[in-house]
Amino acid sequence: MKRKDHREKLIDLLHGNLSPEEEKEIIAGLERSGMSRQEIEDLRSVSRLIDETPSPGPSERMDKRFYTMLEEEKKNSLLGEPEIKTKKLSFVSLLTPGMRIAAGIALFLLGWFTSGWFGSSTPRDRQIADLSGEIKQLKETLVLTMMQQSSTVERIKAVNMVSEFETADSLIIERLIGVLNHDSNDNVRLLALEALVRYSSVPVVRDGLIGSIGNQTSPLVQLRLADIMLALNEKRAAPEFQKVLQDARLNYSVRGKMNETVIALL
Amino acid sequence: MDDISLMVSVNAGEIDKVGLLYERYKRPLYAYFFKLTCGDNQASEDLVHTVFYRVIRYRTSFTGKGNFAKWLFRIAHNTGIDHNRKIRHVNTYQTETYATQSAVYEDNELEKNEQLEMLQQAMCRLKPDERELLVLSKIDCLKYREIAEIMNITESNVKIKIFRALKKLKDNYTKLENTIYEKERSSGKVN
Repeated sequence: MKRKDHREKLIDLLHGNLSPEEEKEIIAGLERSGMSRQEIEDLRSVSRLIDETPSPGPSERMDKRFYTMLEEEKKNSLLGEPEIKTKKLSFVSLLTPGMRIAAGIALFLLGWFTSGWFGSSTPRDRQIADLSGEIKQLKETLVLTMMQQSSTVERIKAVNMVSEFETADSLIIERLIGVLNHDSNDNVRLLALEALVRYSSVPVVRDGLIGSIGNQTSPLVQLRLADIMLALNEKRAAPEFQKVLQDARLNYSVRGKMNETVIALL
Repeated sequence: MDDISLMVSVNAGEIDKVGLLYERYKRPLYAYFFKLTCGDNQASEDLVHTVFYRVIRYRTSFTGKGNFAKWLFRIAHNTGIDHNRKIRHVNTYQTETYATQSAVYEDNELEKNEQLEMLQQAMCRLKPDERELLVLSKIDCLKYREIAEIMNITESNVKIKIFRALKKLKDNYTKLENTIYEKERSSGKVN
C-alpha cells in the first residue's frame, strides 16, 4: 500500500471505521513510512478532543427570528408556491417582436372579419371559428418550438403554456410525453407530468405515464408518479414500479412509497 | 417524515415544513458555524438564519437527488465563504475572543477546559478551509463523498487534507501547550 493510501486510511482509523485487523495493518504501514506510534496516538487524542469540544446551543432569539422570517415568506405571494409554478405567464410576454406583429395582424384580421360579417350570423361564426383555430394553431406551434429550446426557462414557459389550452392535440401530448421521458431538467419533467395529468382520461396519456415510470431518476418525479398512478388506480403501473424497485440505488423514500403503491394497486 | 419528503412538500407550496427541517438541523449548523467562526455566537446565529433563508429562496434547486444534509451544508459552505469575504479581520477577532476566554479557564484551573480551550485556539490558527474540513468530518450525517462534493474536491483529497489539517492542528496545539508551560514556569507556578 502506498504512503498516500496509509494517510487516507489513518483518517478512517481515527474515526473508528476500520476492523481491528485493518487497524493493525494501517498502523504497521504508517510506522514503515516513518510515522511513530506516538504521533499516531497524538493525532488520535487531538481528534477525540475535537469530538469533546462543546458548542453552546443557539439562543431563542435565533428561533424567533427564523419563525418571523418564515411567516413573512409565507405571506409573500411569490413564495406561496415554487417560483416556476407561480409565474403567471401571459401569452403576449412570450412572443418575440416578430411574433407580436404577426399576432397583431391576426387580431386585426379577426376584428375586420367580425365587423364585416356583423349582419350575417352563419358566415361570421364560421370565420371567427376559423380565426380562433388559427390563433390556437399559432400558439401550439409556438409551444412546440419553445419545447425544443436549449434554455430550461423557455422549456418551462412552454410546458406552462400548455395549461392555458382547454384541449391539447395529439402532437402536443406526444411532445409532453417526450419531455417527461427525456428532458435533462427535473423541474421541466415535473411540470410536463403535471400538464399531462390534466389529460389523464386520454388513453395515450395514461400509456405514456405508465411507460415513463422506468425512465425517471428524480425522486420528486418518481414520488409524484406514484401518487398519480394510485389516484388513477392504474394497475398496469404496478409491474413498472416493481422493475424500478429492483434498482439497489433507488432513493429510500421513493422505495417506501413505491412499495406502498404496488401493494395498493395489486 | 424524512428530509426528502419534507422538501417535496415544501416545493409543493407547504413552506411551513421548512420549520421541521430547521428544528432538525439548527443545532448541527450552529455548531458548524460556531467552530468555523471560532466561537462567534452572533455571527453563527446570523449565518444559520442566512442558510435557512436561502433554503426557502432556492428550494426548487433541490431536486431530491442525494442527501438533503449535503445540499444544506453546501449552502452553509457558500454562506461561510461569503461571510469570510466580508469579515477580513476575522483572524484578529478570533484571537482576541479566545484570549479572553482563556483567562477565565486559567482562573478556574480546569485541566480539561484548558485542553479544549487550547484546541479551539489551535483550530483558529488553521486556514478556514482546513478548519472547515475538520468540522465537516465530525458531522455524523455527512460521508466523505458528500464532504468532497461540498468542498468541490475528490474523496481521496478530502482524506489527505483532513490528515494534513489534523497534523497541523496537533502541531499548533503542542506549540500552545509549550507556550503555556513556559509562561507558568517563568511565573513560578511549575518547577
